[in-house]
Parts: sequence; structure tokens; C-alpha cells
Amino acid sequence: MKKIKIGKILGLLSLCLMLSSCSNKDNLEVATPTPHLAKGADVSWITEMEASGVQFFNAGGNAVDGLKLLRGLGMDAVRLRVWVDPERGWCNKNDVLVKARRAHHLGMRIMVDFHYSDTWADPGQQTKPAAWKGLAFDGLKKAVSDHTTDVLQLLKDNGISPEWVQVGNETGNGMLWEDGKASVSMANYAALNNAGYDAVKAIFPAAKVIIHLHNGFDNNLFRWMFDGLKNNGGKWDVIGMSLYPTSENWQERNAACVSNIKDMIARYNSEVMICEVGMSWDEADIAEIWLKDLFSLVNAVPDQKVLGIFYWEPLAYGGWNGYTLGAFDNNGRPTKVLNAFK
Amino acid sequence: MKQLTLYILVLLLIACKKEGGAPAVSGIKPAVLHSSTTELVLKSTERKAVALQLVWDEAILASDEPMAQSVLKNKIEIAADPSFSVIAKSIEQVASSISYTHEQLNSLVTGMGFVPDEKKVFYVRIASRLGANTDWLYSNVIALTVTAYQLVEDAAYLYLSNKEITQFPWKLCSRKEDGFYDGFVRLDQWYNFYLTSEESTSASLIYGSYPLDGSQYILYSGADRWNCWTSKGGYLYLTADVNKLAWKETSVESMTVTGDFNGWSATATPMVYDQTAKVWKATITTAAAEQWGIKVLINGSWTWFFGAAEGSGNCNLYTADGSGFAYDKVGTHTLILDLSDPKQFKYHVE
Repeated sequence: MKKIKIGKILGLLSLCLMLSSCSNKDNLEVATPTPHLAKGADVSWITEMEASGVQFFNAGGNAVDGLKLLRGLGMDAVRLRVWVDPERGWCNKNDVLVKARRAHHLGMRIMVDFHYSDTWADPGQQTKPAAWKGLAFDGLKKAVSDHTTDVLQLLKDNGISPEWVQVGNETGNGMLWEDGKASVSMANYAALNNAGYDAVKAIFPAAKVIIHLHNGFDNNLFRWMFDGLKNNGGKWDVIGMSLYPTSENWQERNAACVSNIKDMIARYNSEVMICEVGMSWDEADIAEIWLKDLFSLVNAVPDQKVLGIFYWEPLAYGGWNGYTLGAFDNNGRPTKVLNAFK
Repeated sequence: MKQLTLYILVLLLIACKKEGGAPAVSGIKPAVLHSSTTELVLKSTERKAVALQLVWDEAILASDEPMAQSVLKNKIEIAADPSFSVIAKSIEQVASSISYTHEQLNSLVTGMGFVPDEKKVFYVRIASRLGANTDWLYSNVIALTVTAYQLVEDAAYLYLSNKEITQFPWKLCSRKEDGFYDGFVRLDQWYNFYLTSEESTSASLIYGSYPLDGSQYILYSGADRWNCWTSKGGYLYLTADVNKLAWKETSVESMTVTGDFNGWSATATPMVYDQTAKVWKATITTAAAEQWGIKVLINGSWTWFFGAAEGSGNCNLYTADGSGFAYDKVGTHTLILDLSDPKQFKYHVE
């Protein structure tokens, strides 16, 4: 009889505790950083979204700071793109500093992603910044170095040290076309890359420099590029990759990606970072399974050679810039895919 | 009794210690404010580009209990004087930074009374507090020197839209293209509206009112604008001065036709508003062509009326003395005054 009473009281106690835990999912205590595996988000759009009046909501429907929300959901790192002289200023060095300061203040780890362009640099375009168009090749190398130094020095002057720096974005065919187009001159691309690499190390010797290509499942692309760079004296610390599977092909793509990762580690003794991932926001059930599977696979790679996974622009929602692979629903609330970061 | 003691014990255990006793939350302190710049010249050519970014390191709260960081409330306070004796703008912000485009900042400072092309300083700080019953903690103050720009209007019209910005029933016109817009509208009392540069939900410029109580007649195009509304309703003369960022409403109580035919009476021949056709009508009987033309007086005023204009069927709005517009019909006719396009007011006779 007495036992039952105690049982009842214990039940009541646990119920009360459940009721009293006032978690709003932007609780800073939730995230437990795992130093070897960064759980990241590219949040480069956040300031521009906020200035346009976009709000982010926690599961309870309260408008909260998007970055704190991601932090509370388990993400412990941010990736920030840098453009040289973007038309409207977003993602220039001052805007990067604002976002880096916010992330740094929340104790998040930071990756800086140099595009070496005034706009998007990706497999389809690697357009030189307008101010660099007339430069001879030596001038172009110096411009890469100066710009890298300028941005990183600004961060350093403000007490912020990025842990990783990407020299070029999705440079599957080099950067700063035409001079740095890898299929035309791997030597040129390697030289431009090294100008960035050396500039990073001069400011932050401990930062790891990433060369980032698209299609992380495409071993041929990665072998072609990194063999080519190696043969031309190209320098890097980490091989970065993007992976955007669909709800139909994710299993096959995860397997191919991990196989590619293992090959990169064996072939170049390199560490690997998954710099960008994403899947359609309205397929969150499958996306959660896919991303948990990817985390589990990379965690199983020996010697902690995979450094982390970054979701690309999870905060984008409601048709923002037409992007549909974010991790927030049309009401501005996080989808289930972010459970993978817990 | 034992059970009661246990219940009390349970209650004590779950009490969040928010009131009385030892403080449950530590780490509360003023924010540290940083600015991307301290002096800037705003440019209309850069209006969509980012001009100013403010970011602050807010207190990181610590507690034994699970606690959302969002319990800390922050607001940005802006004032024209460093002592913040009058807060010109107070913005609650959940994010720990705020970014302004040239257009947004220009709208903010001109709303504060900044004169275009003149360098002027305003002050900004962050106020933080944990709960409604605690004192605000203030960050460092940053002085920002800003030169505002003169709004350049590429549109001759401002369109009056409904609150959803889906319908544009009326328009105002800047006939001299000097930023002063006016027009005649018929609105229900308390009608909510915006003034837009295009007949589109995505118009590049959307004016509402300044988002502060008592600022109903201040035009403001920032994203946090409130809508304008008319407290008068009825047939109104609306003006919007985008240089002074102010709008006004004046009730049109009467429109009366005056001329030789009625001995220049200000009251004898009232016009009636036809709501369907959006025109004013009056029946006039004349024995001869009006040698001085006729005038349509607004609210019976001899200094606010429609009179002569170039071009057949046109009439102009006068606010001082002026001639009447031509009327050469003889007999009984209906005069119809169409004020729906303020670029050119028109009349005809049936």
C-alpha cells in the first residue's frame, strides 16, 4: 500500500518536472559540441532575411533569433560566404563580421567560405570580381591574397578565429575563370588556390584550409581535381564536398559519398568536410532519415577524419530567393531534418 | 499530513526560484554594442543596398534550471540626443543584430526630422532586461553621423491601396513632380491604406505611417511601417509630401457651382457626388454663355476652387484667386466634374 503511494508521488513528481521544464528550443544548454564532428549551418542569408522582415519561430511559435534557434537545436558551427564587392553589400566583409560576431558570441565554431567573386561561385560560374577583371595573372594572385588577408584580419582584429577557411566555393573546375579554369590550366588554379592558402595561414596558422567541390558522390571528379592539384603543388588541409541527394536516390548517394570520402582519405591522407547538404524542405521525413544515416556513416569513418556536416541555408523558407532545400517550413519553423543535428 | 508535506516538498522542488530567495539566473549584464560604421552618407542610387549594421553581444544567461536564452528581451533605442531624453524610435529585436538598407535608414532619419543633404548625428543603444518587473540595462552608446538624401520620385503618381495592397482604388499625383502629391478620394471612415509607387503588391516604395503611437500622419516606408487610416472618411482631399514625409486629409463638405447664372452665389447650386461613376454632378440653367466662365467652390471657399485650365474640358485646382473655366452652354444642362485622375481634373456638360 505504501509502495503504491510512493509510486503515485514519484509519478506526480516526474509529471511536475516535465511541466516545469520551460524549454523553448533556443536553450543554449542543449548543444553539446563534439570537437571532432562539427554540426553546422550555412547562415549567410540571415542578416539580409532579417532586414527584409523575415522572422524565425521555435516549435512553440515564438519569434526567436534564428541563430540561437539553430544553436538550441544542436548546431554548433556556422559557415559564412564572402563576396568581394556584392551589388547590395550582403555577404561583404562587414556583413560577414556581423554574423561571425553573433556566432562567436554564442560559442559557435566558424567556417569562412571565400567565393572570390562579387556573386555566386559554383560549378556553373566562377566570375572574377569586377575590380579584378583587368589584372594580369600575378595581379590576380595578389588580389586573392590581399582579399583573403583583408577579411581574415578584420575577423582577427575583432577577436574571432575561424576554425576552417574555404579557398573557393564548389571549384570543381577551378575558380576565377578563365585564368583559373582547372580544365584549361590546372597549374593556374593551383597557383591561385595557393595564394589563398598562404594568406589564410599567415593570419590564422591553425585554421584548416578547405578546397570544396560539388557532387560529393562523384569520385572521378574528386580524383581528377585533387590528382591535378597535387601534381601542380596545390595545397590544402581538408577536402570539402557538397551533397544534395533527392528523396529517391539518397541511399545510393550516401554510399557513394562515403566511399569517395574513404578514397580521399586513403589517396591523399586528407581530412574531409561535408560543407553543404540539403534536401527539399517538404520531404522532411525522408530528409531526417537521410541525414541521420549520413551522420552515422561519417561517424564510423576511422580516425575522426570527417570533420563535420553543414546544412546549407537551413533558415531559407517561404520562397526566399526561390530556394526550396532549406530546413524550415512555410511557417518559419524548423523541420524534422534538423533532428539529425541533436 | 505526511502527504501534504510531500506535496509542499514537490512544489518547492519545481518552483523556478524566479521571485525572492537566491537569484536563479546569473550572467545578466548590459549588452555591448558594435556598429559597422559611425559616419555615412546615404544614397538614393544605393537604396536597396545595406548601409548600416548594428550588432551587440548580449548577456549569456546561466541558470541551474533549463532556460531559453530568449527570455532576455532587447530593444534598440534611437534618440537625437546622447542622454536619450526623448526616444525617437524603440525597436524590439529578437536577433542580436539589425541591418538597414540606405532606403530604410533614410526613411528612419527623415522621420526623425533629418533634413536631406545635411550631416546630423543620432545616438543608438541597446536596452536589455530579463522580465517586465526588472530595470532596463543599457549598453554603450554609439553616435552615428548620417547625411540623408532627398527622395527622388520616378513616379508621377502615388497609388492608394487597400491594406492587403491588392486593390488601388485611388491615386494622388505630383503635378509639378516636386514630391508634393494630392488628389481627391472617397473612403469609408477608418479605412486602412498605403500609398505605393506602383499598382503592385511588390511596389518598390510603399508608404505607411511611422510605427509609433501618435505618428499617424508621418509617412514611413520602412518594413515595420504601420498602415495609414482615415479618421474622417467620406469625400476627402488627400495630400502627401514625400519631402516632409507627412500626409494630410481634408474633408470635402460641399462642392458648389458659381457664375453669372446664379449671381456668383457660393451656396445656391450644390453638386452631388455620384458614387458609382465617381463624378460630381449639378444641373445648371443659363440664359447666356458665361462671360467670366464658372467656378466650382470647395467648401464654399473663394480661394479653394476649380477654375480655368489649358485645353478643352480641363480645369485646375486653385488655392488663390483665378479665373473660372469656360461654360458656353445655354439652357438647362448637367455639369459633370471628374476628379478621379489628379494629373488633370476634367469636366464636361450633358
